[in-house]
Amino acid sequence: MARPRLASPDQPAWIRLTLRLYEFFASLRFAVVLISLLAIVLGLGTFVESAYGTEAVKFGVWNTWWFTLLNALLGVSVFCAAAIRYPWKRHQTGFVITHIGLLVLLAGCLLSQRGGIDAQIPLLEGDSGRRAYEDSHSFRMEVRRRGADGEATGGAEMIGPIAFRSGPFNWDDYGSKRSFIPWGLSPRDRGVLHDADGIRLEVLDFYADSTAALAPSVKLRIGSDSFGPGGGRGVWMPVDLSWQPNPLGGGDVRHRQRVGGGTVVFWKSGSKAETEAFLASVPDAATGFGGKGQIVLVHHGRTEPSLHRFTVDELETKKTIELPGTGLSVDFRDHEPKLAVVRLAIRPTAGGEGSEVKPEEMVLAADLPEVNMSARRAGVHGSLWVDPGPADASERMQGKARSRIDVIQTHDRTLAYRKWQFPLVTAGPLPADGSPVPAFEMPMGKLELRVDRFLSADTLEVVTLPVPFDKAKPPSAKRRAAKLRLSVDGTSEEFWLAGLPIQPIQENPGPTERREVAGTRRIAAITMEPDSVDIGFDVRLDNFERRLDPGTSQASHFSSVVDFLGDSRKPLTSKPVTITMNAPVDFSDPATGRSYRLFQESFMGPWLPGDPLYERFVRDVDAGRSDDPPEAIEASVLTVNYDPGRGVKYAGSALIVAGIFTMFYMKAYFFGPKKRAVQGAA
Amino acid sequence: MTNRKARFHAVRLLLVCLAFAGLACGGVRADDLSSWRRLPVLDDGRVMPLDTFARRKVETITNSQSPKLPVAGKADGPARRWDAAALLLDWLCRPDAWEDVPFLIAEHEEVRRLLDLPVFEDGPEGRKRLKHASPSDVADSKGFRERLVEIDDRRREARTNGEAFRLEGADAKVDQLWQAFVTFRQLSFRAEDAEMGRSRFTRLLDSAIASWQSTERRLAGAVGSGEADAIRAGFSDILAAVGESTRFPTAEATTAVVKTRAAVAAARESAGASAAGRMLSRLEERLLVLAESLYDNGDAVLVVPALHADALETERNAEEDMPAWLALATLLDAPPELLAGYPADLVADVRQAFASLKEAVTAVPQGDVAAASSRLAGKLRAVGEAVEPERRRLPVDRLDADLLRWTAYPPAGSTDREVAYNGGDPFRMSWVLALAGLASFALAFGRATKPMFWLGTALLLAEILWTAKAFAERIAITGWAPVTNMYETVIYVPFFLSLLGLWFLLSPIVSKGVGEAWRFTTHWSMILPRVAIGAGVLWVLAMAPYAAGGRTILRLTPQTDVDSWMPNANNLVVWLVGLCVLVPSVWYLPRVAISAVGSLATVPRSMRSADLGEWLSQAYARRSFGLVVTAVAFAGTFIAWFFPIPGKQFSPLQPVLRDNFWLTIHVLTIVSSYAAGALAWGLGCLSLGHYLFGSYRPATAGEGRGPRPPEACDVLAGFIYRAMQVAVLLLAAGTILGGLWADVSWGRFWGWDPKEVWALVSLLAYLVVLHGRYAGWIDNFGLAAGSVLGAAVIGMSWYGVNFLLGAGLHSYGFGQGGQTEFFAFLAVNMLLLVAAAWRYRSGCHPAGV
Repeated sequence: MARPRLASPDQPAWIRLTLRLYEFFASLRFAVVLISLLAIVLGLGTFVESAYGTEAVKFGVWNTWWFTLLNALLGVSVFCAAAIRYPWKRHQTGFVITHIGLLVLLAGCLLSQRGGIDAQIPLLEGDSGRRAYEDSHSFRMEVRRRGADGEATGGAEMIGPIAFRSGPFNWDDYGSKRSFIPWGLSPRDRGVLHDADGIRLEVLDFYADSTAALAPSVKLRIGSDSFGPGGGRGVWMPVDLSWQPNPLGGGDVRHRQRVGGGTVVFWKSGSKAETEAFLASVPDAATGFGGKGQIVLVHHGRTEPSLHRFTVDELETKKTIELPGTGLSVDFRDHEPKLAVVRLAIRPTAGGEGSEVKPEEMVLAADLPEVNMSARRAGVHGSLWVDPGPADASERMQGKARSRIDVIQTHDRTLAYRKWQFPLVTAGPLPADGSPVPAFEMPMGKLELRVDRFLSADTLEVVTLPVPFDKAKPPSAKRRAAKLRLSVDGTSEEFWLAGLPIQPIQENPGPTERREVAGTRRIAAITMEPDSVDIGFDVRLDNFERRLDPGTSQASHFSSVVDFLGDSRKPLTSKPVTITMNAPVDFSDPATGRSYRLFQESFMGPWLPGDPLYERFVRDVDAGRSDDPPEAIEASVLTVNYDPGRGVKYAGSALIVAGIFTMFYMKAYFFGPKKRAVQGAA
Repeated sequence: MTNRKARFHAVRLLLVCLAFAGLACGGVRADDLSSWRRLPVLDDGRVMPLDTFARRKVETITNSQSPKLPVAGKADGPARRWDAAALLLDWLCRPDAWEDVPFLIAEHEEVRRLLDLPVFEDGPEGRKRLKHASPSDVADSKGFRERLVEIDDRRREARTNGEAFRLEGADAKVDQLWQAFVTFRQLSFRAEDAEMGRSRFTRLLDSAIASWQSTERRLAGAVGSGEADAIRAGFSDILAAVGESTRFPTAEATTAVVKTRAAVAAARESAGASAAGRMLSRLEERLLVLAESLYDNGDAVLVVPALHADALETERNAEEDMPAWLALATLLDAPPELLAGYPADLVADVRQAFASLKEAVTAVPQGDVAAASSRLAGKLRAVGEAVEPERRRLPVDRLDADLLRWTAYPPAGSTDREVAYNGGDPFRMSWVLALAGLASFALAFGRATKPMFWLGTALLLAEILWTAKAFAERIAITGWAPVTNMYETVIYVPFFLSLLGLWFLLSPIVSKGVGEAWRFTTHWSMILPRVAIGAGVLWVLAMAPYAAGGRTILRLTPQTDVDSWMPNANNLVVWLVGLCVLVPSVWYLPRVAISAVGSLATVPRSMRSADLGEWLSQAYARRSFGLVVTAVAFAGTFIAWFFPIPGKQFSPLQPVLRDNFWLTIHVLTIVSSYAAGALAWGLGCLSLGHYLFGSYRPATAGEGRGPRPPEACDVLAGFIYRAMQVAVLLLAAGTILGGLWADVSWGRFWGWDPKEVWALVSLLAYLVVLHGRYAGWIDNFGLAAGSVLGAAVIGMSWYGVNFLLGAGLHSYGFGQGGQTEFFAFLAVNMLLLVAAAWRYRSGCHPAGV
């Protein structure tokens, strides 16, 4: 084919250079290389999607500047290739139409990408909403003055939304995402995002998905890889325990759990002395258990720690036992046989009853060691051990044997454990790396104890833990969390902040989703919220309809009947509007005139009576509406789409198809090369 | 090899092929179960013939649709090939006799070890792998049960941790056997079977109690306290009759449920039409299903419409177990209180008919099963039709009219078509014909060119017609376009490819006649037909409602906001684009239709031309087309017939795929482009074969180059180029149509979905080749190589996206399997390419030249 030549040696250098560049962009060589490159990148992109999910490929490829550049170069190539052949000849009609169509299509895509909106409105039946949520998050801060009492007063000053590009992965994971995709070229907002007027926000770390867990807590496994006769099989029972500051006071925190073979208890030791006493206060056979149990006391004084063992029966008879070498004596107070609890008092031996040193009370419970009260001032800690009596195998399984494993977080934030299986106690440090220690011995085999996870803390607190990346999890199911450093008037705090979820009915933000930092003059409260668009009118879901195929639970059809409400809460349309799958509806923001297209996306629920969401719904939304509360409620998810490039893209597509047809019709270009090849061969 | 010898071998090959084909088509069953087979049953969301149902269930249970099993009661006896419907009938008639017969799928060694069963059996014919276990093996195995419990524990743990749980390896096989066992037990469940755990009853009872509790809280004085007490007492009676176990006598439980239902009915009557009344009537309904569940433990054969009002509601709770049809076992065993609305005499007839069928099946030798089964079918039809008026009177709040229609007892003969389809496997003939065509075209390269060419063309035409007929049958059964799953596309591609090939083959002969017919459409006498057909096209495209909300395919007026008449600029452009499709369609489609009919007259007339000899020799020169087309068509249809490709069986369509014109057009176009790509690939392979094995021509004097490749390569290059152009046209149009469809149903024109992206990659790959060719960088060899590479890319977008990537929104097409075959295909292609490239380089550019 004729390759247009524009540059010639008689032109000034810069014109020649420009023309050379023009020729280069218009050349087939450039086009072929570009198309090949694009095809390869597109293909690789789908493999990235397969490996890491849709969100990741959008972040790492489709929405990056370099991919946009590639497309832009294609646009330049298409433009130059068509322009350089001007004036066009008749047989080039199809070629020109196709290439103009391509340019129009690319322009339409650019318009959509820059100005388009694709967001979702989740709606419960009967509820209304005007905010459509996107997948990205931003920070928002509410700043109030600090009053004389230190509490926030007055109106709030809003800061934000501060856009936060976080990326699809936990930030620590990028190193492990070995891939041909240059993740580093996609910007993430790390570091200072806002610094003005004494308020400074810094992002230190980010989890794309996280869970909240209590600390101190342990996750254990008890079991064996070969349990049962004949080699057996792997059986592991999970144990999940948290420290309960007030073990008798109830509460939601689970600190003891029954497993096959016994009970596992977890608590926290407050001091070195307590930890050492925990490990040392084990019973011995020589002392025996009497009828009511063996008391083992450990004394930490100025001298070496000392160990003292005697039975409850002995103490009850003698009323007082002296602890040799400590200068202390133990008085018997009372004994509760049913619960196996004994109450003691520790006092200086010299003083005796009635001295001015008040006796310090101790409580030891055989089966509830976590409620034991030590005589801290006197430096005496201890344990009570009771003979469980005879028990056959099935009784043992039911816990009659009182077998138990005590696990504590020690004073220096490690783990220690002791296993009590009558009449022996094994005690020692518990490795947190998952290596096994012996647990209960069962008739069927010996069990082991392994630590899966240990979260240490000084007081009960909620910690944020990363969740490994799961490509199949939709963004709405992920709990994003960012580690922030927020400074207000010089006061600086670091904390993990969880993103607010996209839910049909927003709960008030919980403690991990809204954090306050109090500076000297002001208090700032920060949240991480999903970005949303106000579409300018309320959408009320009157009814969500889901039809099923006969006799199955497979949906055959779903649609939402909605009303569009204006500011006065009056419907803007003459009658309710039905939005069905594959049949979207257009409606414009009355204020701006921007036309949104609403699609039926999916649904959530059903929520049945008893579910908190259902009860809240009946109380708040449906209250007084009808005398017949719904049997179940469902939520419909509508997609709100604003696409300024839609028409342009349609026009471009039409041109491309028309152009290709024209080429076929006019048989332009088709057999030239073949003829030449045949001629060449002849 | 001499020509004669070659011909001899070819003829022998043809004979072998035809003999094999005859084998594949033979073996028509002597069928005395045809009424049984055609019995309408409800399953998987549609009314289907029992034959299809039986195939599904038998495959779940035995891992084959026609397993080779011993006869009932004779576990050690000789095995015979069972037909699915016959096997199901036998199971239903004498489940106990099958208790010790191994027929449940249990092939995995680990599974057999758990069951304490041997893996091999040494018989007279040598060592044989054992594949099945008996129900008693499964029921009595402690190890198997423990394994199930353990799997369940892990599943629960995964769920509490929010992790995905996937069954792998032996676990999946354990689960498969368990599913087979449960399916068999559920199918053959009868109320007298006190040993069976009543899982469905227990579940429904829980939900009925929960429903009563929530109703009770809201009754608020609408019902007298005595009536509420009676209901309460009823529920405690049920609990007392049931006891702690899931195994209990049926009669007492039935009485208790019926009594409770009567109490609820009394309360409902006094509550009237209030909200409480509606809730009570729903509860009444649930109690009816609860009582029925004593006779139907789930997954049973549903044979007549049920009288459940809730099953016909527009909005049904997906979790609620409310079948639209009634089980055969319920009809046979339930007391009259539960069958109110079913004429008692007809029910008695059914019972009697089943008893005699059972007698005929179990008798030795078998009695007149044909007559007995036909009697049962007739009696069931009588019940099914008698209950229809009753069904229409059901108190439904908001009736789903479609549902009522779909679940009505179908007219006689409506299931015949599907039974014939199942039995005939109509696509089998397609590969047989294609194979025969391939053999003929292969022979056309010998001396008998002309007869073999015409025989091959005739066979190709026969293959096209046969496949079209089979497609028509399939569409008549499923009611949607034949490109909704992998299986259908695997057949559609060879079909379209054959059409394309036939056109390419015959175009030298027919193009003049077709051209005449086309021009004739402008004749004044054609105005009336053109207007008539054009009006029809206009009506279909722009006026007939085809989807939800009475929408049309294309809009005559631009889309506007709700309650507005002014379109915005975007919608105006979209409308204009629609007009650009509509106007040419209305203008040209009538001409296409008329000229297609007219060609039948003009083509034979044009043959009288003096040029015929020239045309014929041109057509004969294209016989390599025929060879390639029949080869690729055979490969495609054979793969579809031979491999278990997902989608072979009919199943309901995903909601997003229903009622969608754009979907049909988009997928048809894209899949047609695959066919054009496959044609280019076939031609490319043939061309590469010539490069590899052909004899190179000596260099011409004028051009100082080396030897030139075989002449066939140059001719083929032209064909490849054309096939690629067709592929590009169809790919571009299909990709854009996909954008339109995505815009209509998902709200965005382009969403970077892998299927979309790969369609674009295929398009770009072919564009690279065409542009490179245009620039003169790609010679004939490059074109052949490009066609093979292009086929690899198409393979990726067709098979790979669904089976290798497993991501994105086109998730209704995912599957597994075939990876090895796919990669082997790629490897063989690349090997051929590399070998041909090596020969081409060394052949055309010998060292030193």
